[in-house]
Amino acid sequence: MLNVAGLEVVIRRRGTTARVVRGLDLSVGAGQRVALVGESGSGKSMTARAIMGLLPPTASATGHVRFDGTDLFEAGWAGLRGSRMTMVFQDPMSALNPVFRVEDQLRAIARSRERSRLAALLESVAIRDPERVLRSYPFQLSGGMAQRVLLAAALVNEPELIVADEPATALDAEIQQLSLELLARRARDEGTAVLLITHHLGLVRAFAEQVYVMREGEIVERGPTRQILRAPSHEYTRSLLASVPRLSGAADG
Amino acid sequence: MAELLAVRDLGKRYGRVVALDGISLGIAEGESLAVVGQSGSGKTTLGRLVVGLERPTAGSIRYRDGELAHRSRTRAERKAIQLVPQDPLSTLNPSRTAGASVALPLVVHGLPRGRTRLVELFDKVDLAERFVDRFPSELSGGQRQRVAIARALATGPRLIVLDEPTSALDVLVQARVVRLLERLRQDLGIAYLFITHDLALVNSVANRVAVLYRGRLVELGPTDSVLRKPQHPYTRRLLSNVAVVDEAEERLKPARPDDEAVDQEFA
Repeated sequence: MLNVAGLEVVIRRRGTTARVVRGLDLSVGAGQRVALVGESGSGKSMTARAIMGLLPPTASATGHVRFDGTDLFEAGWAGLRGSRMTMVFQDPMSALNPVFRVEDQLRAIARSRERSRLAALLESVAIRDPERVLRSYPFQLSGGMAQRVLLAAALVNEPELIVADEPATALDAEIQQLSLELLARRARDEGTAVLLITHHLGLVRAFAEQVYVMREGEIVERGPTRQILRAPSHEYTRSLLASVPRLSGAADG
Repeated sequence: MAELLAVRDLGKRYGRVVALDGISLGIAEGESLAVVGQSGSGKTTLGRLVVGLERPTAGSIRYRDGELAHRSRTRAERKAIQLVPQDPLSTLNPSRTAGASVALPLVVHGLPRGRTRLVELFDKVDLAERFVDRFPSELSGGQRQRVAIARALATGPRLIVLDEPTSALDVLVQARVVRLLERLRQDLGIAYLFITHDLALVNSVANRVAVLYRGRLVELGPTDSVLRKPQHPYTRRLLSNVAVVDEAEERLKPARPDDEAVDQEFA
């Protein structure tokens, strides 16, 4: 479904350039759950933005991002982004438009605009009172509710690919787990390809079948999640693993 | 250990909304107490009351021999209890250098504020002298949080309220900041009220843990026993949501109780 080959992203800043993604290869098949993991500054969010065609104006990308066989750097994202490929952003409050009701925001992007379908969609992301939420403005929602609305917005057109960039990191673990469960269900039931961007290997373990570990713009390790978590071969993966807080005792990263 | 801070039957209402209800807990000299709960549990309100940013609508807050709850704090009391907020980017003035932000409490409290003192404070949080002249926008998330910690240390506090100090950071940076905080606590004998939504973090940062749910204290005990033998279904639910990295950790997690079980126990 998604195939990235030789991706390079360069950012120009005050006359200097920084290569933030260096020759990255990655693929996500239909129904597959893949994680791209690394710390802030590793280039993982820039990779997500390059895939979605949402790089900031100071950044430029080369290489290939193919979606269902089409090279997006040549063909562009028109007719794809927001419908066949969608993104879930980090911060639900800044991703929702504060001056529109939830219903209007969903209608603005949805192909089918029946109210009953929108309500059913909200129910499918564990919103118990969809009618109230549809009538609400974002500021009237709790952070957890806003995150679910954001998920609903990503799902409304039944995309074939979802890129989730640290969903609900700023919120609590329960909402985070719920978001991942809902995305995993989509992958299983609808064959949606899901790419999760995160710094947390615990979430990778809970969610992904395949993992790519990224550091300073490059993939340093990749493979099946279970194998990588049991026997990481790269020092950086080991330090990421060691820094996850333990129920059994202090992390030592 | 002598009790540094004692909170009794503390309550806070905003109009008809009850944010905190009947909270009683104590913090000993040099102790770290974690306060855990989801958003809306009242944990941030508790921190704001302890620091004195707001006054409670019921109950008492004793610091050493002084009752703080319903009066203005003395200069010494304000110096003694400091805050490190969740998001330093929103509390560090973007047009001031990091050094100027750290110097502000020194100015306010009439303390020595020369370059030497600033460099000393930056050194305590492992930031080199050059960071004194940087602006917040030129710092990484972890560096900003170190500046916020240096600012809290400036007045020589005995208790620091840390409100989600690492939740905006990735795990590697979080681990370094947690180690720094633990070293400062041991070196300086400062007590912490460590507010977090992440129960997994508690083991690394606190001797005891208080669990808040909908403004009430549902569990309070030594970290080890709360994590290994959680008594309240809400604590078990928090634990069941922790994202762990191996099977041994997975076995420490209880099964997830349903909402009804949590609410029944709560009622």
